[in-house]
Amino acid sequence: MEGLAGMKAEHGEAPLERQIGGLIEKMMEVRQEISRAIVGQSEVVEGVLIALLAGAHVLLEGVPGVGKTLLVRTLAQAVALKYSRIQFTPDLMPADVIGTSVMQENGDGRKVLDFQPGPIFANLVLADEINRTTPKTQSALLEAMQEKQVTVGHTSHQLEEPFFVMATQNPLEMEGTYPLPEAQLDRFLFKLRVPFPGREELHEILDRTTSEPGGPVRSVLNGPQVLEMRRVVRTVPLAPHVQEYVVNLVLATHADGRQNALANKYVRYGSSPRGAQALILGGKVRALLNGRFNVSLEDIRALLKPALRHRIILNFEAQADGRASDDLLEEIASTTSKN
Amino acid sequence: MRSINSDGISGRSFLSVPGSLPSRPGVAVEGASLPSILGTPKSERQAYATELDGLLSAVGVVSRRTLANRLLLDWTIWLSWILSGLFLAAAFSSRLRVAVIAAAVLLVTGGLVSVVRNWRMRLSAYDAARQLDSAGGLYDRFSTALHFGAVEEPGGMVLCQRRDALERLAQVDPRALFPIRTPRAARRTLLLAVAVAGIFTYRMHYSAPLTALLQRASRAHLEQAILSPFERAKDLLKRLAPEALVDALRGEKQPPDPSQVQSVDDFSPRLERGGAAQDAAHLGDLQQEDSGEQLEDSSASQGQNAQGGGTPSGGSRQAAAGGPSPENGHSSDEANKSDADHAGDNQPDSESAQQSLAQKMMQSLRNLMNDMMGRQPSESSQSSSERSSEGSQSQAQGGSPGGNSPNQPSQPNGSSGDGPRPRMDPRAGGASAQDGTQNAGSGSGDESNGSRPGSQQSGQNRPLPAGNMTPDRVTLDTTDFRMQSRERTSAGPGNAQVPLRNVSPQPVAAVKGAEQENIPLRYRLYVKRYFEHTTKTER
Repeated sequence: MEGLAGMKAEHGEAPLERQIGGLIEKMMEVRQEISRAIVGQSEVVEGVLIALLAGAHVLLEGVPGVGKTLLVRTLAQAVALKYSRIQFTPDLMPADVIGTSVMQENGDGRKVLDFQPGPIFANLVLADEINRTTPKTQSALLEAMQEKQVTVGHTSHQLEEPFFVMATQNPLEMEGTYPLPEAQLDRFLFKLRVPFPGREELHEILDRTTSEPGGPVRSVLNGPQVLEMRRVVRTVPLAPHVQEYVVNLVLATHADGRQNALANKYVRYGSSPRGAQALILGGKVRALLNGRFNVSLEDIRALLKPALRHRIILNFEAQADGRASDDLLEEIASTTSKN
Repeated sequence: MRSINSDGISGRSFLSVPGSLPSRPGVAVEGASLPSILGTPKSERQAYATELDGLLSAVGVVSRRTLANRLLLDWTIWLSWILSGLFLAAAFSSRLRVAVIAAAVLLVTGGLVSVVRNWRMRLSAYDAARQLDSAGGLYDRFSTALHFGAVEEPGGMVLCQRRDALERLAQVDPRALFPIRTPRAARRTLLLAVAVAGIFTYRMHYSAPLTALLQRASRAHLEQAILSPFERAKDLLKRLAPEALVDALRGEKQPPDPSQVQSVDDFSPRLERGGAAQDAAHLGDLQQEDSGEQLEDSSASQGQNAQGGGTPSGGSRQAAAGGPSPENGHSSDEANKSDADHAGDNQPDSESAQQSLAQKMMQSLRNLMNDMMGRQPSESSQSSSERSSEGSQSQAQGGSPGGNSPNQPSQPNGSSGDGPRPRMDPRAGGASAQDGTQNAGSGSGDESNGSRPGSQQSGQNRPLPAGNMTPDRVTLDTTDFRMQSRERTSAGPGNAQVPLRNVSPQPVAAVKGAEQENIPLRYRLYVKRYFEHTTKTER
């Protein structure tokens, strides 16, 4: 087991500040390794790293071919985590995800039920096209994502930490898909929209993919270090007014008639408390990644959309008016008091 | 009181997320009491770690400068108000000394109040640190450091954060970020001060300028307000043709229009009391004055007409039917006399006052007429002489004495010889009240028996004047109609009661046995419709 202890050995008996600096450097290295395979998409890469260090999961949404799956695979290589990919299809069953018990003969010739773990038993799970499978199979991820365990029969099996689910879905091909239920969506820390690359980025992608392939991605971080970073992240101090701002934002997404008139008009149900958790945890990681040791209002504001956009359920009037949750959150952020 | 872990962060769990969130203000941190930073001003620096002195100094600068800016703004606004008051006082009031003393007192009082208020509302160290963070782009470093500033020897991330904040403090100049600014209202206040100085200089030599100006303006407004109605009336009269006014006067002298029979019927008590006769007589006087001496006979005849129409004597009818019979004339004279006596005996003083009011109105109308007819005196006198000649001719034809002057013949409609005579029963020539009653009961709708048929007839014979002026109409106030009190009647089921006026039957009607004649026509119609409706309902 390495982790912080190993880092201390590397840096000697360096003070904690130096150790934290080392962690931040590690994260910068991971980011650099990812950028060797992924062109652009800096916000998406930052969001994925924040979610990894915050100990939560990420839902990537984007059209095909923008590098969602490549991003997850590259991250798994850079962090040196056990990686598995589940291609979600309509005929996929929960047992195909979490595993099943099969009858086997032991050495004595007796037949016993032996649990064969599914692909979810990994550190980094890519749930590709998660909205193409049935809600039954989607629900098989609920326990794994929240409690970090799966239950088969009467036996619960703990998942190995760090456990990180990255799901992808295509916003265009809606035929034959099953939209994720709200409970499932709420378990994702961020919903990151992978945009189409720009002109320069597209040139870079073509240059990289149509010529000789570059070198393999180095592993600069391991699982224990990720866990240590997760622990350190939670020690980042948070000023009271920043937390108050988070609470105001989350309350402003609710149509309770007091906080925000826009929410009263367009929101059917606002963000859950997990939204506030996501804002604060993500803010802490973002502060560390930006070389700060405290969460600022700017961190919260930067993470508002990815943390809350999938937690707000809009009503019919919003759909009729063509209002998206991102527009709503932007207006809420502009009208919510920072005091 | 919550404990804090080794990293200096509160161990409070936040929902289901394992880990911690920073403590709220006022919680205990590693044995040291974290002061209440939010909301309360802090002066004790010993509540913070000593290494935060530099940060507290910077924050103090921000707090003091913010306080100074607020005080300047308040004082400027207060001074501008006081200067405005001084300006007005100098413009209106003659007691400048009192105004200056009051302004000085208000200035000092307001300044002290502003100091106290802003001192109580001054920024706390935490709020000042937030202001400094926002102004310097420090990403809430100082406020976070101050929030965890009570920990003397912090560990872990809090220590890192404090050192980071102190490192940034050297790069921040709070005096440059929070300068003492001139308030935005300073220029306006300066202009006001110049204006006040100017007006005070003026007042050293002259009196209050706006007082005289306002007095003059208000006087002019008052004069306009008084004179404008008269000017409007003059303009209105100038617009109307003099002929129309003459015709209007003629229409006033003539018996009323048949279309107005209904309205006149409502005012029958007044007519019974001879008010119309007096008005007509007054009109005759007016005509006399207008047309000179030639109109004397004519006005007398007109007055007779009116008197004959107004009194329920039936003499006019007799004159119309019987022609110039001295007996008839005599009888009509007697009837007129008796009626006039009765009316004169029974009229209360208030009614005479109202009649005088009507006379006053007529007098005012006459004055206006005189103003207008002063332009064309020849035409009016000519037309008056023509009318007088016609009147004398009709007098000669009718020849019946009557009216106010018993020596003059009565002439019911002024055209008794020319126009078709009213279809009257010759037997009614003998001035009987019963005939009048019967006529009223038979639908003529007039209790003043003699006047109404004649009036209708004259209205049918002569054309309407071109400019029918208001004297044809009689207002309610002049007829005492509104003054009549009414009795409330309690109508039980199947028992209809007619609301009666609380007026005793007039002797004129009582003598002639026609108390019911005091009931106005609309009441009678109401009762009639009521019984008709009841009968239909019962059927």
